[in-house]
Amino acid sequence: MTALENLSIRKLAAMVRAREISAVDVTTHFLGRIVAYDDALCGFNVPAPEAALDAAHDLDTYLNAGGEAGALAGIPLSIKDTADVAGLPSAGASASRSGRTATADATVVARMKAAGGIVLGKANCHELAFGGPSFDLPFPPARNPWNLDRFPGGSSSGSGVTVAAGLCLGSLATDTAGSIRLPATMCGVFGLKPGHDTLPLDGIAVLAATMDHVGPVARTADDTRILFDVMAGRSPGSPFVESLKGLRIGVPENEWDVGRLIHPDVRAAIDGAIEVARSEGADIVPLRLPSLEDFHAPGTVLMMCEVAAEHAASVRAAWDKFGAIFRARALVGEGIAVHDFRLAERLRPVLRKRLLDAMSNVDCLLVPGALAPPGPLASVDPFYFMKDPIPNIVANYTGFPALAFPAGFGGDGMPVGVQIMGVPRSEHRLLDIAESFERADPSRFAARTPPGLEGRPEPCLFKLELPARAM
Amino acid sequence: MSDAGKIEAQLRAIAKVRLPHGASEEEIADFVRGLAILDDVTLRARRVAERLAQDEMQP
Repeated sequence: MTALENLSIRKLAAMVRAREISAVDVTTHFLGRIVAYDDALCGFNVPAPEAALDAAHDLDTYLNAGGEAGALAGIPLSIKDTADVAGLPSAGASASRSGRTATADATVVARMKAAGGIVLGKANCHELAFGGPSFDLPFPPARNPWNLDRFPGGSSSGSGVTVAAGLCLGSLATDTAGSIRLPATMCGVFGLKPGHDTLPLDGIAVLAATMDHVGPVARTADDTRILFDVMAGRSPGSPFVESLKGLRIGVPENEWDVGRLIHPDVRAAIDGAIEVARSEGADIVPLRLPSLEDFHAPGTVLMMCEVAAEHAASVRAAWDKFGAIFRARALVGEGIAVHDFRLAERLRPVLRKRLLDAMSNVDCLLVPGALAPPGPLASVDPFYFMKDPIPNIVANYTGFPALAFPAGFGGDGMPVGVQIMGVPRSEHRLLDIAESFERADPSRFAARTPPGLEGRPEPCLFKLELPARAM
Repeated sequence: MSDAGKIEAQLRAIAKVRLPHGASEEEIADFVRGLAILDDVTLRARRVAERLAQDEMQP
């Protein structure tokens, strides 16, 4: 029998709905994996076993009484600690919000619960989705399941880690400059940043008001599609069954003028994706775009101003309640002049139109998920995202949807990934394309289970008292 | 950078973002570095605006 953590959401939810397995058994299995593996991974900072088992029991009772459950029936989920789940702590991994308990679900969380999803706990993250990886927070940083000493990406680090390690089948994450796609890339799973204003943000901590997005992290393109549809308040459609044949996939000319920054393993991943797409009958179309720098510089100015506007006063008022990285990142934006902020605002529609025009006759734009594989966790530069252009921020600045997915492994055994960006309202197109890659060459484009995390851990229900983790 | 230059840069950083007294010397140095990087990003954003057609930008 296939281990539950390797089943698709569609399959496992169907089994729960058909009463082939109870939601309590599913939940117990995944809680057992958390007990067995998460001490080392720190993917959850607030496990919620009692609430999860209660919800699973309620679902079983409802199904046994003839009730009909939705697309996430019994599916184990992690929720980034910046999103509210009623009754659970909601501190965004920050001592500044310690003791805060959510009284209501964020709308997207409520939709996931209404579809039958079981929240196993709050996923670890960088402080308030911005300050990390940090070693001076109430919780230790999440670690990459492919190598515990490597960066798992951020800020939705726990979302990437809990999904990649098979501690749940899906996660709710947020993305202001790549925070869904970076951990998805670095942990070897799928992460969708939907278009701007596609999913509601209420009940989720604000980082940068016009750059913030919420979206799913999952192990397959179809799982990601189901989570996205549920979060959008829709019933998921049927699985996609087409191929890459006839698609037009754009790639930036001259490597978007950042060839010097692209690691050879990442370049090999992009080349591999192009090769597979061509062999399946897709056309690769070089696109002349504004340089990556053109998007990155004003996007960063805008984001840093918005972050400072949202958080600088709180940081100044409670200095010791924040980690050093968050303090630094939250305050530097105050050094930006108002006219530079306005310039970044005025450039936004111009660059959005230029990107839209350039992409008018392709199905998507193929770019790296990250420019380099994950480096050491303990030596991440607090300002790395400002120093050099990063592809992720383009989709936040323009508001276009983007989807990161696995594209093999680098020479050191760490995952590398690619992302595809599309025009507004092309989320399902992007998911279909990613699924086509996944089916065309699963050895390269499907998520895998990291070594040491396969198999069924010893039953350990007696150990299920999981307190909120503290340093 | 000379000692005087370092002190001047740190003072400018403190003035620019009004760092509180609790900030350590190491943290102030990190702010100086962050501000310098952000200054550079801001200059690059201005150059982007100069290169793009001004008539495309709304006032």
